[in-house]
Amino acid sequence: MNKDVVKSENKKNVKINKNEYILPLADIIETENEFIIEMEMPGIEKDKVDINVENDILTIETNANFEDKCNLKCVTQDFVLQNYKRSFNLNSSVDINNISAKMENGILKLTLAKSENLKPRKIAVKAS
Amino acid sequence: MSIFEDMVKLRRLMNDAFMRNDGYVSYPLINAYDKEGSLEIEALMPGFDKDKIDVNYENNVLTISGENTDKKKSDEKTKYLRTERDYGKFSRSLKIGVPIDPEHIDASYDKGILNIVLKKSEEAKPKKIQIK
Repeated sequence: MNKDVVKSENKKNVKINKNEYILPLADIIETENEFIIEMEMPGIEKDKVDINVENDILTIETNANFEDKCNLKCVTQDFVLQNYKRSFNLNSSVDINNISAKMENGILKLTLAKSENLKPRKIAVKAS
Repeated sequence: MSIFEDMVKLRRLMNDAFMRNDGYVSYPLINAYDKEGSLEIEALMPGFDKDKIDVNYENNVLTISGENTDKKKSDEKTKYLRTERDYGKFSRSLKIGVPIDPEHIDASYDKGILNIVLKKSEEAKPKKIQIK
């Protein structure tokens, strides 16, 4: 088995740039009446997330403060925590007054109700 | 300096930037901090059920393993339009280079990050030696 050795030679200097964002990985799921977007945002409190819809563009942005923990003695560094930002074009497919969001275990889950004209509709055939 | 040395240097820089030294990316991604009295390890693993994460320590090797079962079942009514997240089993082992106390390993999972604190054993702590 391959093992990483936790010692100082592995140190990498990854600097935090406050003006840069991480593009969070997202899964998009379609159900009968909803679209669900699940985004990976580890390290973010739920009150540090801003969700906006403007001109049919959904934008998710975080505004947390991350300390650069590597000024402690950092021996292995694979990642830096930074704020996240991502936008989605809704293409009029979503009822923008019906969007809910939940943060759990570093995953932001957005539930977007489909706009009325996208929902399946059953048309009854009347007897003449 | 020969061209070969330059190439080796470049290769090492690229490995550092994108991969581990042995040429592949290990998951989960970790940060490790060497603090006074303890070693702290953070592993980036969003979306896990904390009961599906295992942390083991044996022979100076700390192993983090688990399974992400967050993925929904696809059927006629539920379909994935886009899948960027990783699911399934994973395991990563870390050789701990300092003596630690195996009885005092704490692990907690919060906001998608696994935090492991390993207390250094007495022999690893810096000691001031009195000159007689």
